Amino acid sequence: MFTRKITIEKNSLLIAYKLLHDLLLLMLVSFAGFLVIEGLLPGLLTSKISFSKIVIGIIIILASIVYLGKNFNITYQQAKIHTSKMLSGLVLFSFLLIGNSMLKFNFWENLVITLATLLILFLFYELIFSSKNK
Amino acid sequence: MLDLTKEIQLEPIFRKKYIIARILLHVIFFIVAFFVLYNILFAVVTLDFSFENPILNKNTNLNPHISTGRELPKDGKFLANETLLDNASPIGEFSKASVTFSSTENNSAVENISVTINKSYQALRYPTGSPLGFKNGSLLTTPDGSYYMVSDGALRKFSNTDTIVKLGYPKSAFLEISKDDLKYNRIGNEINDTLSYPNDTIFAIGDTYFQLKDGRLFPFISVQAFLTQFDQTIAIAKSKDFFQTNPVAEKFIGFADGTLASYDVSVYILSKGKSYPIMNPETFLAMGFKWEDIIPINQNELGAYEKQKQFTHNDPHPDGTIFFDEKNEKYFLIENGKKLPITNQSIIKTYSKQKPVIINTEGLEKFSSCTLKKKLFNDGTFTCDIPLEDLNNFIGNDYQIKTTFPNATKLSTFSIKFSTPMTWNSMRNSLSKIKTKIINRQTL
Repeated sequence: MFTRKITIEKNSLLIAYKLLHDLLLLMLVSFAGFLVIEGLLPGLLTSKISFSKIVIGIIIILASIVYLGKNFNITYQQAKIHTSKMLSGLVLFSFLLIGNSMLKFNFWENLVITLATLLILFLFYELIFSSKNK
Repeated sequence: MLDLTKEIQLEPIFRKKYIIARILLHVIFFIVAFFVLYNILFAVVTLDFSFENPILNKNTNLNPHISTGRELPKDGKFLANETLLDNASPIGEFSKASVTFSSTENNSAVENISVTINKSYQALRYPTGSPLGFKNGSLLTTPDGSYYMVSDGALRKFSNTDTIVKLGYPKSAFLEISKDDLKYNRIGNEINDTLSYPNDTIFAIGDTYFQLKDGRLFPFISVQAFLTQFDQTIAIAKSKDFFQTNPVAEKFIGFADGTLASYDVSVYILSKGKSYPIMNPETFLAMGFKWEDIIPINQNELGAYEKQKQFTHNDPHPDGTIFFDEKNEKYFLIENGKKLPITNQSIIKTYSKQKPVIINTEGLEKFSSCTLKKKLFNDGTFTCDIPLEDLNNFIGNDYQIKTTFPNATKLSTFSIKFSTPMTWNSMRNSLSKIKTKIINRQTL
């Protein structure tokens, strides 16, 4: 009976672990959608929902996933971000969001900001990935 | 279905439970998303006030007051035949206002009483003042060949045309009016001194315009500011020697009161030496302003004004705002808590450089109402719904709620909830407004 109780508890926690992943995906997709809507119409959503609460919620879910994962000794292979299929999508999404916020600047200001940003991103990329490749 | 944790395999019984829980999670998520969408597309604004705690932060209803001017009773005790007024300025188009009172004493005083609501702008509710006269500095001429200048609010007649010529007033600057138009300004002394100028005379010295007051020349902050008040033709050209007899004052004259000005990405209302940054585009449009009426200004021009807190949709139009009732073709100027009618076409011409806000005074006379009924299972709470569709045609963002208590009563709380019904029409209206906001934002 005791063993059965442990099995039920372990499986319940595993279910919770899997559900947390589903919830995380829903929250991240929602957050991305909110960013797009806020980019197009500032104030439309932030007047109804607090973004900080969504971010805190995502952090709590991540912390719970990490905690449960450690309990079950679940490990993941380190993701190769630079070869990930999602990277190009994420980069495009970031550029669209940032680009939308830069519409107010004139051409030369945009050019300077873009070049500076690309340079900084390139330096970060070299810093993070070149040390791993060595 | 997408499984993010494929490597974690559950036993069949628990797998079934996981699938059910997953479906439930998605259902709850979509319910929450629907709720958020509902709040966006079918706006609901609730304004609450506690008579027992009038300064509580939670009070979102900021403006209940008594019509006689008596201070709002801290204990919520109203006298017999006392009228409670409230002004609410929610942004959006609503179809219904639900009014709720909770009473702790003499509940019968609240039941079956009528609550009325009308819609207009707050400033339009100001008491009507005396009709406005011609603007200071105006040069006028009547068919009988008389010439006048408005100085310090008074109409001063030039004793003869020689005086006009010797002083240098440009004849082309005199506005032709009828004798009858003169009655709106009080009569002042005749102008017969050819060696000194009356107050409010306009001068052009170099590239700067000045207005004379008590022997000192007050410069306009810029040519642009001058042109919002006067035409260039009205100015008497002088050389810099003129400063010897009339020193320059340190204070600048700015734009006409009520001017909409933009600097950087912000829009300001300039009035009485103060600048009020407008909170957001929704507030701008809700107050009846037009984008094409905005004048871009520079940092120097803005710096001449004392920056105030943000102008929100709860604030009345500031001094200097001109309203124009298109239907009745009437103009009003807002000044010192009063609306001053501008009854004369000639007088309107002297204010023509200021762009009016279009209004509909019918809104002040058209009311919707309901009768307070006891809420089910709640003895001390009385509520009713006032339909607002009939008022939506009237211009304005301010709803005034009014109710008179026939007998003395003690109120605890008061709330108004503005809502939109969940109909296809409302949804289409909301989506259309969202589309317009996106287009406005991209084109600004």
